[in-house]
Amino acid sequence: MIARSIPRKGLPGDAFPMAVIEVEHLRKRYRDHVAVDDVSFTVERGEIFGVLGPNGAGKTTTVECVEGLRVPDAGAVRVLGLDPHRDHDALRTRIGVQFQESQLPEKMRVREALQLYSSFYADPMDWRRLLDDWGLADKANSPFGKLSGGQKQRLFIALALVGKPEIAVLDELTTGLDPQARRDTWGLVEDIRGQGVTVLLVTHFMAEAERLCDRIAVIDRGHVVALDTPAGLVSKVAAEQRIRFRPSVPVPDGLLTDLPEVTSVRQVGPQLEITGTGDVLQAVTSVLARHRIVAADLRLEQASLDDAFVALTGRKMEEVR
Amino acid sequence: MSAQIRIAVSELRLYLREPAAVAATLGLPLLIMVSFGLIVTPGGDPIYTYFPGLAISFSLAILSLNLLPTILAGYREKGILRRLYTTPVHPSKVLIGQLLVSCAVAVVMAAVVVVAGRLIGFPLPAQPLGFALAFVLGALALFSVGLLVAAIAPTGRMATAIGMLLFFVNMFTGGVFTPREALPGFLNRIGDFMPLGATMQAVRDSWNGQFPQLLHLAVLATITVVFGLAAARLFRWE
Repeated sequence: MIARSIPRKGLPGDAFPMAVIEVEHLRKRYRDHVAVDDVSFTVERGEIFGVLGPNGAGKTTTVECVEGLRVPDAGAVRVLGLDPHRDHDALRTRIGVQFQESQLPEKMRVREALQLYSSFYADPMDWRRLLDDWGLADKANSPFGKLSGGQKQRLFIALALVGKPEIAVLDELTTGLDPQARRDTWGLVEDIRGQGVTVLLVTHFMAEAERLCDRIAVIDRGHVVALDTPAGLVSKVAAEQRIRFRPSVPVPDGLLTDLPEVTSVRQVGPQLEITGTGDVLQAVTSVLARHRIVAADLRLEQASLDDAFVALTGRKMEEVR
Repeated sequence: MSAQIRIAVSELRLYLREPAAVAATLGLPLLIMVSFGLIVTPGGDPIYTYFPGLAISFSLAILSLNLLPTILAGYREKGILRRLYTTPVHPSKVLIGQLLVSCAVAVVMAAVVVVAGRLIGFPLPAQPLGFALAFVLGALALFSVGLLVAAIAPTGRMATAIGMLLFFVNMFTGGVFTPREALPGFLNRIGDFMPLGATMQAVRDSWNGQFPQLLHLAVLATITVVFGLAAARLFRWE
């Protein structure tokens, strides 16, 4: 929407060089339910954009409309200035896709898969280099069925990149991976962006979105409930903060409760637990300092993206799975 | 090399890596010709044509009613066809590649049956043109049936189940399990209209020197057109 209303400078013939994906009021219903009700977002060139939400929120349907696999019931989707469905042939050479739960024939070897997929493109990446880049060189002759989860995932990312895409769509790429493999994969996604590829990342892992994404659209029940940077999302909802410490001497009544930033003070054993908003930590520590009270074992509990999700949707991520 | 040829070569490689598939479609026909060639004295009574007919029909039935639907429906179930839809290569190329492999295996199999049969003492097909026609039409009709199964089966397992059911019904009514001569008339009548039964009979007739019956050729041509068009219409990539 912004891309349309605000003129941008750019190369001739490329009306909106910065926005590579534009989704406006997307709506898609299946026979029995509305998968996507009203989703809008814009992805800029070179960013890692996250689509975050619980399973069944409409994430995959949204990106399938971006990939041209589904036709929206209403709204508009533009990818690289093209209609993903009508201009599918033009777009297919410019986007790379990794599906949730992808597979290959069990007995197809890693080398063969990369070789075959690279032959589909006019100007592919060197598949031997992809083997090296993605740590698959020693698995080149292994059949797909014998690969570990992490190796399969790396192969699919390599296959998504073999056509030198401008946009890579990665759907739930670390689901089913152990924590170490997940971390390794995150590093690889950052490498993709480092090569100038725009990444559209679909995930239901908070930590993944927090770590990787420049911006995140939080989707719940077919709607975008928030769109911001990870830090922005957290700060928006992190109204309530909690401070715990052990005071060196008893704190007089009213000393802290009179502060406008403080909403409650509670004694928990030897510790005080203070909740408040805004710059509550600064306010509390300066009052304590003025009264020469030392706050031992001081801890500040800050909101995470998990808390942000709860605040935005009124539900925990686990509950809706 | 075009993407289509690369895909076909890839499918061929995957076929060759399945020992059971190779054994059933190439090994068994060879075994049938060699073993029965040693047991019976080919020639004379036209019952001998049962053996080359059996070898060819059995192999075609495995290729078309077992391998083709199981592999293609499995590819769809695993998202392989859908994944291809996002590349510059349309998933129909996998379907065509799979068909090309099936045709190539069928031709090699037919050559093995004819040549091995000749070496072991069977006569060559006495009506070569009729034999070629019966073989080609039979293969096309059976592949069309297999493609339709792949098109309508929701999962790879369902495709295997439907394919196996069709396989046994066809083998039984078509005079493949048991020679036509030993079956009751009404079963033979049914078999005349089944893809495998028509193939079997047309192959046997041509091997024995008669031109295949028009009925059998017409049945095979009709099945090819009707089932082939239905498969093309109903096939889903996801």
